[in-house]
Amino acid sequence: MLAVWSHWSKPFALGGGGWPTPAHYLMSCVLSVETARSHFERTRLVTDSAGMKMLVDGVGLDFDDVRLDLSEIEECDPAWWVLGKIQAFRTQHEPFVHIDNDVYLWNGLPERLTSADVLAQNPEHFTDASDYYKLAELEQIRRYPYGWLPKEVEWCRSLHGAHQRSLNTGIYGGHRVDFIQYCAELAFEMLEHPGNREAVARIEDKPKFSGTLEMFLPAACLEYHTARPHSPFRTVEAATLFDSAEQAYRDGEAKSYTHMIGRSKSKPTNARKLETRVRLHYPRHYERCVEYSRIFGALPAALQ
Amino acid sequence: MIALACWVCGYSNDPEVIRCRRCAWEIRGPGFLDSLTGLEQERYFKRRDLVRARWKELHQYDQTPRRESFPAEVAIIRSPTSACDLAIGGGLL
Repeated sequence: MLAVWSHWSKPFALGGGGWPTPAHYLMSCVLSVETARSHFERTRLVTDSAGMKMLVDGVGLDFDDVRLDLSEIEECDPAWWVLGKIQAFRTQHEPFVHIDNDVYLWNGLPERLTSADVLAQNPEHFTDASDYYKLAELEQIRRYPYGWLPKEVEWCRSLHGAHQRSLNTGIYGGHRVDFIQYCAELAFEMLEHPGNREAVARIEDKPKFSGTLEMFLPAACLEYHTARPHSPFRTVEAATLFDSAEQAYRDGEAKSYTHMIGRSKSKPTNARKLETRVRLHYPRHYERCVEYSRIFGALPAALQ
Repeated sequence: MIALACWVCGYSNDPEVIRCRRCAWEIRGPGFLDSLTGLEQERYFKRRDLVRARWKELHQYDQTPRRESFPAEVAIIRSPTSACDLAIGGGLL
């Protein structure tokens, strides 16, 4: 199976990512790629030219191929940082797993995932109060005369109300790339639809809507299409590494899976462990991360 | 005042709580059902059952709050993993 990573330079240059310093982000990229590399047949980086310069020429990461598909979203608002990831989903044409830059697969993935139609980290549950989704606020689009929401979103909303399900995409991919591309297209369409532009432009704190675009849409599409006998996606099934968010926290170690999720990446203890791990196991990359991060004027605390 | 058990997840909420602190289901006080017509009650239970099924599927529902057995759980349920400040499998790092 093809392992894919993505990096969009525009949001990164604005200081996105939640890491204590850019150097930590680079080290996490190193650890993510290097731990997963031996478990997959091929590796791919989906980025733009600045990203290639940083991760390949600067840090020295090796990939079987590098694609510059994120150059196509150069005009997009970088506040929608998640579009980089979704563009990477959209541009894959063979079975793949996209691995977040903060996910470390120490032992690869089980066969039930690598052979799945769609694979993800775990099902996730959210309500209107959840601040990584903001689905209710996104639905303000409906108030605009020509506002449009995907039928899958409308359907899930009418059926489940405030209690919705998503798929955590720390790892995401599968063999049904047609379905994955469809979900990714929907995310772009929601933001770019002519009737939605005004509503979308008024949205503040756009990163807080990321979960809806990257994690809720695939789950909504699964629910909608598997209930429709004539849908081309009616047989699509998802396999998740963990059965729930709780299980992910309980069994992460047992399944040799680490995800420096959300705010955990800003914790000094985690950052120190990351620095130590990369310095000991990948010293050449470590030096280059430090060297390259001088460009950003920010170094790990231990080096300042 | 007594604590009100959530009809979806069973969590015991403080009496003044409007939405369940664990699953966000709207908490209704005594007398609520009596204020509904038969048809409204039917709709209410149908909807409650749907949400409960979803809850059970995702959180291995049982009647007792599991705060003690897994300290981070309440935080995880109330805000999804992405908003949490715990690393998954962080011990491996």
